[in-house]
Amino acid sequence: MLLDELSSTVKRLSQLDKKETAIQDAEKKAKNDSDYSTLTSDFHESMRKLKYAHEELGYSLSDDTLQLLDDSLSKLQETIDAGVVDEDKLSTTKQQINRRLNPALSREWKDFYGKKTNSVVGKLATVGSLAPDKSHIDAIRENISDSGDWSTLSDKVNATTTKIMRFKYSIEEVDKIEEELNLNDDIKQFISLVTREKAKITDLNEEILSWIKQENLEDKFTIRFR
Amino acid sequence: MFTGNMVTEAIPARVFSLYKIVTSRKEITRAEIQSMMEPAEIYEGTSYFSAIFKAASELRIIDTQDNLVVPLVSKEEMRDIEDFRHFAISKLNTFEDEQFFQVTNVIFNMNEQIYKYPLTDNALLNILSQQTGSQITAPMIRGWRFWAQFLGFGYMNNMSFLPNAYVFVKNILRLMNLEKNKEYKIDDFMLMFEPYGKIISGNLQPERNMNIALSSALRELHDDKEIELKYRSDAKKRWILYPSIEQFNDQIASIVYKGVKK
Amino acid sequence: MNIEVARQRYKDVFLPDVIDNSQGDFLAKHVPMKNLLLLDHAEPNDSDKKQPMTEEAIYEQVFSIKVDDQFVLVKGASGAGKSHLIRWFESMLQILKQDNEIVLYIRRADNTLKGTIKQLVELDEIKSLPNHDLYKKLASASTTIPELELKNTIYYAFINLIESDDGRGGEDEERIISNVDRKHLIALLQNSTFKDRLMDTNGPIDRIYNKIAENKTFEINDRAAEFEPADLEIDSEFRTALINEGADEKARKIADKMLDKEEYIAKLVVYINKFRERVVQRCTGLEPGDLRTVIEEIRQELYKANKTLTILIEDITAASGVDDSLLDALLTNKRGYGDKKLCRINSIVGVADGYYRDNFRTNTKGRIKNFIIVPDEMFNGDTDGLVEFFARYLNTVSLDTTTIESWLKDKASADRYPIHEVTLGAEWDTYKLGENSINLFPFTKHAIIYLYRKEDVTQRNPRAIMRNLIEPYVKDSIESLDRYPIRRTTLEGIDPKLQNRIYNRSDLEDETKIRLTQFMYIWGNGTDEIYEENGIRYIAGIPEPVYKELGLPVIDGKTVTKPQETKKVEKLVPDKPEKHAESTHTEKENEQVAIALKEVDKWIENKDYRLSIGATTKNVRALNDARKNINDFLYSVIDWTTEGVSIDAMVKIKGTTSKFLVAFERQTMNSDAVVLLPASIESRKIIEAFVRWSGVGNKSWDFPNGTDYLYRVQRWTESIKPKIVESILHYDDKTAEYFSFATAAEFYRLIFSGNCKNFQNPNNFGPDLLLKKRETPDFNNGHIKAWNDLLKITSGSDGEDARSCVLQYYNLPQGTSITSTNYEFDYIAFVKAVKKVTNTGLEFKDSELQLDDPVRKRKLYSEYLKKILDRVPVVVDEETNAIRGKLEVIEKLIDLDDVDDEDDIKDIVKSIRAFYNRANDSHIRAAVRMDNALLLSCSKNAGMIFSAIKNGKQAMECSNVVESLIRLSKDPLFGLTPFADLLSKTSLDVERSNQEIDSRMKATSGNDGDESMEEYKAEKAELAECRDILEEVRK
Repeated sequence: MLLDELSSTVKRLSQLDKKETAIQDAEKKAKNDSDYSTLTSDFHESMRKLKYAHEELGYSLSDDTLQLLDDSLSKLQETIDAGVVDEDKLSTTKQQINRRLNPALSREWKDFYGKKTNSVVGKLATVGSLAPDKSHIDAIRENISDSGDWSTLSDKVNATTTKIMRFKYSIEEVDKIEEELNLNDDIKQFISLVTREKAKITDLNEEILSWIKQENLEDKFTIRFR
Repeated sequence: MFTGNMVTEAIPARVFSLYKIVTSRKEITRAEIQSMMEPAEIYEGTSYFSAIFKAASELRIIDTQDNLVVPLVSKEEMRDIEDFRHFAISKLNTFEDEQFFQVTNVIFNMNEQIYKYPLTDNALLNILSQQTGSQITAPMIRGWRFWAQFLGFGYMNNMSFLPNAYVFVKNILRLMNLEKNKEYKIDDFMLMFEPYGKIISGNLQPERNMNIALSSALRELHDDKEIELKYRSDAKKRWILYPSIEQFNDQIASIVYKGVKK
Repeated sequence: MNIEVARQRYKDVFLPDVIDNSQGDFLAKHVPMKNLLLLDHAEPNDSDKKQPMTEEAIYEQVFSIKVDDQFVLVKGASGAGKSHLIRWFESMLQILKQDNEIVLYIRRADNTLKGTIKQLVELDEIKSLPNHDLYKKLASASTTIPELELKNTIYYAFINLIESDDGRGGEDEERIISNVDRKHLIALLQNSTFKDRLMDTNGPIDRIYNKIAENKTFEINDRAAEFEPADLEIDSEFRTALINEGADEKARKIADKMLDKEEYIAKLVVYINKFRERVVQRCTGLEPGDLRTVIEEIRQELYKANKTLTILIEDITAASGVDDSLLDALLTNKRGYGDKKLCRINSIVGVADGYYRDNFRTNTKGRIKNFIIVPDEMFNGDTDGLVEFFARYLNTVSLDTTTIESWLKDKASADRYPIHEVTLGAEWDTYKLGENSINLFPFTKHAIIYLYRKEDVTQRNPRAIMRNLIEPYVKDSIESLDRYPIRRTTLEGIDPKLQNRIYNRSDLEDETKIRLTQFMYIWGNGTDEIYEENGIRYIAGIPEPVYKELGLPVIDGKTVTKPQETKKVEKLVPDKPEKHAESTHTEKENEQVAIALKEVDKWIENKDYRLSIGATTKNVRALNDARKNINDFLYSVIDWTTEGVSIDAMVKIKGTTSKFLVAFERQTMNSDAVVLLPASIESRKIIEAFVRWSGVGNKSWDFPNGTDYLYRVQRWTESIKPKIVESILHYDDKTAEYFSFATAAEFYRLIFSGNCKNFQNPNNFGPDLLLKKRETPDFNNGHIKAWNDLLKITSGSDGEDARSCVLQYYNLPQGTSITSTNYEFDYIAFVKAVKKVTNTGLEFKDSELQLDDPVRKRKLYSEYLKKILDRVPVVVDEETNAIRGKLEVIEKLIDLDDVDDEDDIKDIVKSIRAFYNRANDSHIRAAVRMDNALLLSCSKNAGMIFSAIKNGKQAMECSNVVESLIRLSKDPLFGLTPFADLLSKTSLDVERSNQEIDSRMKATSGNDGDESMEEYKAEKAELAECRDILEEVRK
C-alpha cells in the first residue's frame, strides 16, 4: 500500500542519510587522521632531532619551550583521547605547534647554532686556510651554514645522513682537523691572529715556526704589509 | 371581465386552469396558485394573474377566505371544461348591467351588419361604445371574443364574429329543465328561456323577430333533431326566424323538446 | 322506340361506315341532303351559296341520260357527307338505272390501290377481257409482298427518284429545291437514324405502304398516303443524335437547315410528295399509263357490248399513287381517243377539300368542270334537318330488316317510308315527317339541339353526331334506362334556380339530383314551370309519365299556361349560350364563382373526373383558394384549447404544408387530409360557400344569402369537428406523444447538467425541475468526453427545441403564439403529463418512440430522444468503466476501508507531502516532481474526493441505466481523477526514490571500513617516544 511504502521509504531515507553522513564523516575522519598523523609524525621528528641535538650537540631548550613542548605533546595525546581524532583539538594543537612551538624551536636553534658555529666557523677559518683540501673545507663550511634552519634538520642528505647529523659530523671534522694540526694554544692563538689578520711577526716564535715546518704549511702563509 | 371592463388576458382556459389548481389541494394561497401558473424562474413580463383571478371570482367558482383560496363549486360538479362552460353560462344573467353582457347583446342584434367589420374595426367599436354607453376599446373586444367563442355565441374566424349560438342555446335548454317530447308554445318557451338566455334574446328589434345567432341555433337544433320547430297556421303567437332561403323558414308557433345530447 | 326490335338491331345500325350498312338501312337512315351546290368551279362564292340544291335535283341533272362523258367531282370537308351522297347516288342508281348501264362503285374500304385494282379486275366484264398480260400484271400488283421488303422498296424508290431528279420534281415547274439541298436531302434520307424515323409505324412510309397493301380493316383511312411536315420535323435532340453518331456532313447540314424551320420543311414535303405516285407505281409494278390503258380497254369492250359505264369513287384520296393516272383516264373524253370506240363514261369522284387543294395538279384541276359541293355543317341553321336526321336514325333502329327490305323492293319511295311501332317512350317527343310522326325516344328536340350545340365545331358532321350522340345515348337508354341519362354534360350559362332547388332537396340521393337536373335542363327547358294538356302534366315541358318511366321524381313548380310552339326555325347559332328570360334579373353571376362551380359540377357528375386542384391552373385557382380558405377557416374557428388540444400541437399540424384538414376526393394531385370532401352536392354547397365568401363577399360573409351559406358551413363544421380534433392528436390509431418525448429529453438534459444529483431514480423527478431557469452547462467537469458530447447536444438547438416544447405545450396563450414567455400554465394538466413521463423511468423502447409519425415537426422529438437514448448506455458504460479504472488505481494504492472521512484523505495528502519533503531533504531526484498544486487541490477538495469515492462506488453498483446516469451526474470522476493521479504519481515517485536509495546505499557499502580501534597505534607509539625524549632533554 502506498502509505506503507511511503513510511518504509522514509525509513530507508534516514538510513541512507546516516550512512551518507557517515561516509562524509569518514572522509573527514580520514582527513583528520591524516592530519594528526602528519602532525604527530612531524612532532616526533622534531623530538628526535632534539634528542640528537641534545645528545650529540648538547643542545638544550629553554624552559618555556620545554613547557610548550610538553604542552603540545599533551595536546597531541589528548586529541585522540576519544578514540578518534578530535577535530577541534587537532586544530588547536596544530595551531600551537605551528604558530608557537615550531617558531620557538627554530628561534632557539638559531641561537644555539649561531653560538655553536661561531667558534666552529672561527676554527674553520683558521683551519680552513691551513687544510690541504680547500674544497673540503668549503664543503664543510657549506654544510655548516646549511644547518641553521631547524625545520629542515631532519632532511636527508643521503641515505643515512640527515642534515643535523651532517652538522655534527662537520663540527667534529673541524675539530679533528684542528686536532690533526696539533695545535697548541700558542699556535692556535697565532692562527687566530692570522685569521684575524692581526698576527705580527713577533707573534712568530719558534714553536710556531717549527710547527709550520712540521706541518708543511709554509706555503700557507703570506706576509703582508699592514 | 364580467364586471367592469372586459380584459384580454382572462381567457376561459386560464380561468379554468386556475380553478383546477384550487381544487387540487386542500389548502392553497393565492401566491401559490400564481407561482404555479406563472413559474417564477421562467416567467417574463407583466403578470396577468390578477385579471384571471378576478374573472374566476366574478364567475363565483372560487373565493378568498382568510388568505386561502377555496373553490365554490366542487370538483365533481365541474369536472371538465364543458362543465365549466355550462356553469359560466348559468351565471351570465347576473351580469346583466355589465359591459360584457351589453356588448354581447348589441353584437347579437346587429345581425348581418357584423359581417362587415372585424371586431377591432374602429367603426364597430364606435357603434358598440355608442350603444352600450361605455367606451369599448380594442383590447376589451379582443377579450370578449375569447368568451364569445367559448360560451358558444358563434364562431370566431380570426377577428370576425360569425353568429350561431347553437352551443350556447343547447346549454340554456339544459338549464331550462324541459320535459322530453313536450310541445311548448313559443311564448311560454321564450319566457322560460329569458332568465338564462336574455343575453341573446333581449332587446330584439322588432320584438319576436329572432336574430341570426338565435335563429341559426334553433335551426341547427331542429336539423339535429334535438328540438322540433313547428309551424301552426292557427297559432296566434308566433316568432319569426331570421329569414333563410334554404332552411326552415316558417314562423315558429311551438317547439317540441326532444332532448339535447351533451 | 320499338324496344324489342331495337335491342336486336342497334348494333347493326351503328356501324361507322356508310358502306357496311345494308342498302336498306342506309336508305332508311338517309336524310335527304339539301344544301348541295352544283357548280362549274371549285370554290363557291356567296351568290353560289344562295342557290342550294337538293340531292334529288342533283341526281336528276347528273344522272340524266347523257351521251358525252362526264366527270363530276364531289368535294367537301371530311365527314361532311360526301361518301354518304355518293352512296346514295349508288343506291338510287341501282334502283333507277338503265339496263345497259354498268355501275362500278369503288368503296372507301377498298381504299388501297390494290383494292381498287382488285375491284376493277373482278368485274365480270373485265374478267372476260382478252388482254391477259395486262390483267395479270394488274393482278400481280395486288399480290402480297412481305411488309418490310415492300416498305424498303418504297423508301429506296424515293431516294432513287430524288437522285435522278433535278430539283423540280419531274414537273415543268420551278425548281422546288436547290441541287445542293437535294443532294443533302439524299444524304439525310440515307442516314439510318432518319430512315428509322420515317419507317416507323404511322410514319409516311407506313401510310404509303398501307395504301398499297391490301387493307383488311374497316378503318376509315382518310389520311393521304404521303409525306407530311410532321414527318420531317427535326428537333435539337435529333440533331445532336446525328452529330453524336458521326452522320454524314451533308445530312447534318440539311438537318441544321430543317431545325425548327417550318417553311423549309414544308417545301421539302411538297418536293418529296412529287415522287409519291411514281414510287407507288414502281412498287406495285404499275406504269403510269397502265391504269389508263386498262380503263381504256374496259371501255372499248363495253362499247362493243353496247354498255355505258358509271364509276363512282367514294374517295379518291384513298387511291393514292394512281390518282393522277386514274384521274387522267377518267377525264379524257372519248373523243380524245381518236378512232377508238369507247363507251360513255360517267365519273363521280369524291375528294376532301384539303386533298383537292394540296394534291391535285394544276392541270388536272383545270380539266374538271363539274363540282358538287357538300357543305361543312350540314345542319348549320337547319334545326329541322338535324332533328330529322336523328329521327330517321332512331326510326331505322326500331325497324326490323324485313320491313326495310320490302320497302327497298318497293323502290324505297319516300311516301311509303316505314315508321316503327312505338313500344317504349310513347310520351316522348316526336318529329313530324310529312303525315307521320317519328318517335324521338330517347331524345327530345330540345335535347338534340342542346347536345348538338355542345359539340365542338369539328364534331358536328353526321358521322360524328352519330358516333358521339346518337349511338351512345341510344345504347344507354336500351341497356340502363333506370340510370338514363348516364352521360353528363356540363351545364353552362343556365339559370341556377331550378338546379338549386333540386340540389337543396334533402330527400334525394346526389345521383338522382344530378340526373334529374341534367334531364330537366337538357331534355326539358330548365324551368320548374308546370302546365297541363290533355290531362297530362308537363314539367319543364316534359310529360310526367316520362319522369316516371325514368324513375325520376317530379318536383313542384309553378303552374303556367302552355307556351305556344313557335313555327320559326330556331337559328342554330353556335357558341352563344342562351339566356333564359329569368336570368336577366338575377345578379350577374360572379365569373369566378361560375367557373369554379362548373368544375365542381363536372366533379360530382362524373365518377371518373379528377378535380383540378393546383395553383397553376388558371381556371380553377378559385378551387385551390377555396381549399386553402376552408382549411384556414377550420383552424381559426375551432376553439382548440376548449377541445383539449394544445395550441402547440395544433400549430405543428398547421405548419406541415403537406397536411390538410380538408381536401377533396378525386383530386388531380392527391392530398394528405383528415377529411376528404366527397364528390357530392353537399360538398358542392360547402365549396360554393367559400368561393362566394372569397369572390363575392371579398373575404367576408357580407354577400347575398351569406347567412344561409354560413349556416351550412357551420353545421358542416360541427359534423366534422370531432374527427378533425381527433386527428390533430392522433395518427394511425395512436395518440401523438411528442410532449412526452420532449419532456424525457429535457429531463435527460437536466441529468447531464447535474441538476438531478439528489434524486435516486427518475420516477421521483418533479415537474418543477422543468420550470427552472436555464443555466449554461458547465463543461469544466470530470466527465468523459462522451458525456460532455451528450451534454453539448442536449444544450444545443435540439435541446432548446425540446425545452421550448415542454414549456409551451401546456401554456395557455392568447391566440396561437407558441413562443410567449408570459406563461399562464395549465398547471394541473402539466403535472399530470409530466408524471406520465417520469413513471416510465425515462426508458423507451424504439417501438414506443413513434418514429413513424407522419408529421415531421413531431417526429423531430422522437428522433432527438432516440439520439439521446441510443447514446446513454454507451455513456454510462464508458463513464462507469472510467470510474472503475480510477477506483482500481486508488484501491491498488490505498486501502479504502481505512478512509472514513475527508480527514483521512487529508492525512493521506499530508503523508505524501511529507514524503516528498523528506526525499527532498535527502536530495532524492524524484522529489522535484512533487506537484504542489495537485497536493493543494486534493487537500482542499478532500471532502469532494471523499464523496466522489462513495458516489463512484454507488454508480458502479447500479444496474438500471437511468439510475446509474443520475448517480454519475454527481460527477465522481471530478474528484477521483485528480486523487488517483496523485496517488499513482506518488507511487511512481516512491519507486523511483527507492531505486535511487538502492544505488546510493550500494555506493556507501565500499567505505564500510570498520577501522577498529587499532587506530592511532603508530601515533601513539610516536607520542610515547616523544614523551621519553622530552623527559630526556629536560635533564
